[in-house]
Amino acid sequence: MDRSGEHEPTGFSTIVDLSRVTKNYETPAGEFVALDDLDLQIVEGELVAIVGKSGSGKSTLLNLMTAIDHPSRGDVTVAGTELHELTENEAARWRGRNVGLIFQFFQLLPTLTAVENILLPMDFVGRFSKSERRGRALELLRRVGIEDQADKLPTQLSGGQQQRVAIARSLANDPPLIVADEPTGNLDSKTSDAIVSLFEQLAEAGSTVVMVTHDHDIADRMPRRVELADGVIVADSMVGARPVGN
Amino acid sequence: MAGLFSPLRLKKVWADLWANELRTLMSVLAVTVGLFGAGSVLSAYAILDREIDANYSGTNPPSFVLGVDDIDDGLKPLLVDDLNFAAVELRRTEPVRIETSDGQAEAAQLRVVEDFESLEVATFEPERGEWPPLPGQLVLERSSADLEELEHAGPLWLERSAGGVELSVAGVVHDPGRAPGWQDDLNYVYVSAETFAQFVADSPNSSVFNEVYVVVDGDTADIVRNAELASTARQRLESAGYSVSSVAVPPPGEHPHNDQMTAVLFLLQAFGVLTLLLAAVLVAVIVGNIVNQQRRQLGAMKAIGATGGQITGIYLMLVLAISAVAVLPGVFLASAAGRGIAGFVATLLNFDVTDNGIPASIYVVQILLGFAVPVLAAAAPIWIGVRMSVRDAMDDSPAGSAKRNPSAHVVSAQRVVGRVTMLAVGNVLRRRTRLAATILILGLAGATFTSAINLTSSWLATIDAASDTSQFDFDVNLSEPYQQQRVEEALVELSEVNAVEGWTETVVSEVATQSANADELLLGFLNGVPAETTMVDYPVLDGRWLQPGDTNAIVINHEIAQDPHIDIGVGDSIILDTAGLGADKNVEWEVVGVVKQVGAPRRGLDAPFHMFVNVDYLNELTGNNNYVTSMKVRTDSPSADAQAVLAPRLDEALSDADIGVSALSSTGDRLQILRDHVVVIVAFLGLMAVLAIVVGSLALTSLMSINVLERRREIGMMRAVGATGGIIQRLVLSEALIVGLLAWVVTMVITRPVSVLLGDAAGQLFLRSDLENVFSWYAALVWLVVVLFVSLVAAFYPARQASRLAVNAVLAFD
Ligand SMILES: Nc1ncnc2c1ncn2[C@@H]1O[C@H](COP(=O)(O)OP(=O)(O)OP(=O)(O)O)[C@@H](O)[C@H]1O
Ligand SMILES: [Mg+2]
Repeated sequence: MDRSGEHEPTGFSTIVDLSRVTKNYETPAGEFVALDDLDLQIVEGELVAIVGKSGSGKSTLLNLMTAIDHPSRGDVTVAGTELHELTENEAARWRGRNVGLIFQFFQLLPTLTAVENILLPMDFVGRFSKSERRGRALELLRRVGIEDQADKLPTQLSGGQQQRVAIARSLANDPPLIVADEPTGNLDSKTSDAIVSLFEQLAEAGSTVVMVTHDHDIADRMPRRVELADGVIVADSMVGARPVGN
Repeated sequence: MAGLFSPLRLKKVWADLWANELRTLMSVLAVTVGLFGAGSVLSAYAILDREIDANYSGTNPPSFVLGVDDIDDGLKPLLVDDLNFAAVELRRTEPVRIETSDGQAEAAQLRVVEDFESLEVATFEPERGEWPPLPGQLVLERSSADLEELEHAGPLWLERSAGGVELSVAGVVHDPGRAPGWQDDLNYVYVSAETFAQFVADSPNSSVFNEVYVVVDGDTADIVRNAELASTARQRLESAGYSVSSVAVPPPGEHPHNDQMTAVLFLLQAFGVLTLLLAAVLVAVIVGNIVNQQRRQLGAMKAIGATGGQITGIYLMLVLAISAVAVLPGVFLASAAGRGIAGFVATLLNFDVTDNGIPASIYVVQILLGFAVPVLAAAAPIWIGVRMSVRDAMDDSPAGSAKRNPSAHVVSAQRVVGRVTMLAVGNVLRRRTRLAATILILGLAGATFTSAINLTSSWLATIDAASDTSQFDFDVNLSEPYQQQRVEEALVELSEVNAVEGWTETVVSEVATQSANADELLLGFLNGVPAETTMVDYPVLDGRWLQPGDTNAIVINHEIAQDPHIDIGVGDSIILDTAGLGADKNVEWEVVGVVKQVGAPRRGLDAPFHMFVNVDYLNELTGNNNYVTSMKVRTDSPSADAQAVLAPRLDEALSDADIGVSALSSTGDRLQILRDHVVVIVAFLGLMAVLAIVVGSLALTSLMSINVLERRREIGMMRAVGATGGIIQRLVLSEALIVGLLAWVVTMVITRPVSVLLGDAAGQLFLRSDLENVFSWYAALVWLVVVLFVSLVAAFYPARQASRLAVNAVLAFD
């Protein structure tokens, strides 16, 4: 199986599958359990909010499902790939094709323009022909509503505009999964609203979106909410509809 | 698959380079300076390598030289026709004295040639004036110590032991095959056989020539074969009835001052490598800073799919771009400096650099170095960046967080000492590796700088110590042996003369035995010395000095003991050809001691080899009772001025008494020449020190601008809570001064070993002796001033940058 292969739409199949996942951190005070024997499945096209207190393990969970980090125990399968089998470089390549990442602090490259930031993932992964890329990047900027800012540097953009560029960047390689860690944490409520609407549109268009948020209003808008506490899932709004775990 | 390079990533590299021009400029300068250091030596080497061939080898140097006293017309055919040597030429070499019409007298080496127009062996070229010299004319070699005075002094009086003759100067020649005369206070003059005949008009039967220069057939570079052929030639001549007094087999292809060139180039090379290394450290520091500063970008790029190879590619392009800008000026400057160095070394060897061209291969090597060294230097920081996980890279804890900050404990003392200073101390200690590298670079620069000053003091102290070992002010060489009493009486006429001592001084050669190879035979001065001499007190390195009652005991100087071609030490015996002195046969001597005789006179020989024996025993052997050939004269006032006045009066007193003088040298003059040698060395070290200081200040400027950059937020905070631009500027300048002070401390720690190392190298090079080491506090003080000044200059721009950071721009920076 081609581990870094392209994502094939498979209907309503499971795209994220964490089974009995534990994550321990080595600390000077001893082992710290950040995620404890956790099970979580996410189906294609879902829009999931992950909530929980600070330190509950939300970012750790996202790191595991994006192959940024490895679980101490348990299996993580995303978009048909068993992540523990990937080397560092394979993981990077796999991520480039299958995951769009969005961060609280945007993490745009400061010396590249908006459109160049969007071109970068295509450049790294080699997706789309070179002649197609620029048109596609501009189209993505149009989708997030800032096509007129294409040639500005990140420092010349507002926080909301920067996050829109980051979202457009996450879509560059047309990944099946979009993962955002507190994407509105740094934005005012009106801008946050617009960003969340964008995620909703993406989910409607068939993408799977997993988003960590502290904002209860935003979480309440989401079709599914997963709540973490001390590394354990304490609530999942879908539990009634679908069983959690086994 | 997506390649390692792409236009988009190149665009990022380009933009990153321009995002911090100062840092980019520093790295470009570092590579340029490093390349300059290494490239200039490479270029000089390439030029010299070729020019040695063109100059020295071009003179067709002899494969061996035989000393034969009774040369006649029948000798040459024996060697040319019977033994098939490629070239055979007769010469005569002997010490003479030149006097100008206004009474100035100088030591010289006279060389008589067969025919100026058909020189074959050890050739030389006319440089200016008439060529060839007519009968009654001489030519001077251009490296002669007193060329300026002699060339236009009108007719010169040449005085040899058996009378003199007046000759006019026809012109100046260039003889690259000999050690430059100015280095030994010696003049070289050349005359034809016809002119020389005027000297010997009264004894027409004596032979004109006393040396046979031979170039062997076929391979001339094989010293063993040359020595064998020399021995064959000697046997052939001896069986034909000639008496061969000496055999010299010089190392093929080696200029007499080859070891000087080797030593100079070695020092230069070491320095070239050092600058390149320092530059590499600087590049590593700067790239490390770039990688560290771009940690989050690294994380972001990996998060969106960049592989390790692609990340490597980005930083590789960055380094290659820096190299690409740096290589051209680096190579250009290196070529200019390389030509300068080659010219300088050429002067040391009396070469002409006929062709300044630097071979294409040297340019290629420099360009390769210019790219490869920075890439290698950057490999470690790039590797660290590539290895960093997305999580580490995105880690939000600020750079230099509490646990990494060793200055935490200092902060409590802030109230006691000035606030800005304490803050500066804390900041300086923040990044230890980078700081250590900067301090080390500056410290090394300081060591070079202080060594140059220390070396000067050491050199002068060594010459002073050497002058303390001889308590005479004049060394008078007589044209032939005279009754000691007669000479003494003539000299003590002068009231300034305090004490005199009669010596005998003769050139002798070692006689070949089974244990001594022909090419290792010693040719030097045999000094007959009163065992209880009051004129010299040479430090004894091994064994002992002469004692009254010594018979065949001989003491040699360190020049002999340390010569790589001669293997004689205490306990060895040596047979000297003393037949020429009038002894019945060659005498075997036992070496009882080695003394250090710094700055021994060369007097026309190839090396300042001196041996000392008991004059009473020597006289016994030769039957020359109470005859002397050399007088050591001590006077009331040893000042150079007094000596200059006294010299002609001594000369006059002796000639009034009908005593012939072949050379009269004042100790002061000779030592002054040695003192002047230090100028060459100091010029050299000075150049190195300047280069090192440039690299050092580059390092400091980079360090400061990197620190400022990394603390933009912090500086912004300080400004936000009311710090003025002036305070910020003072803070950065204080930090630089602290770094300068730390570098000074490092210099103080390493200056001794470095000074000793360089001093010994220079001492061995010019005196074949270690120096008396002197460490001057003056050097330490001057360096303190220089390093503080350099620190301020280096930090000026970063400080200004820091003070101009606008609060909002800084806080927005990510
Ligand atoms: N590298 C690490 N080493 C040790 N402990 C870690 C490490 N990374 C995270 N932790 C710990 O694991 C726990 C979970 O961290 P995580 O970042 O997942 O929390 P979070 O829910 O994202 O919190 P926040 O809302 O503040 O972002 C925390 O207690 C954190 O201190
Ligand atoms: Mg988090």
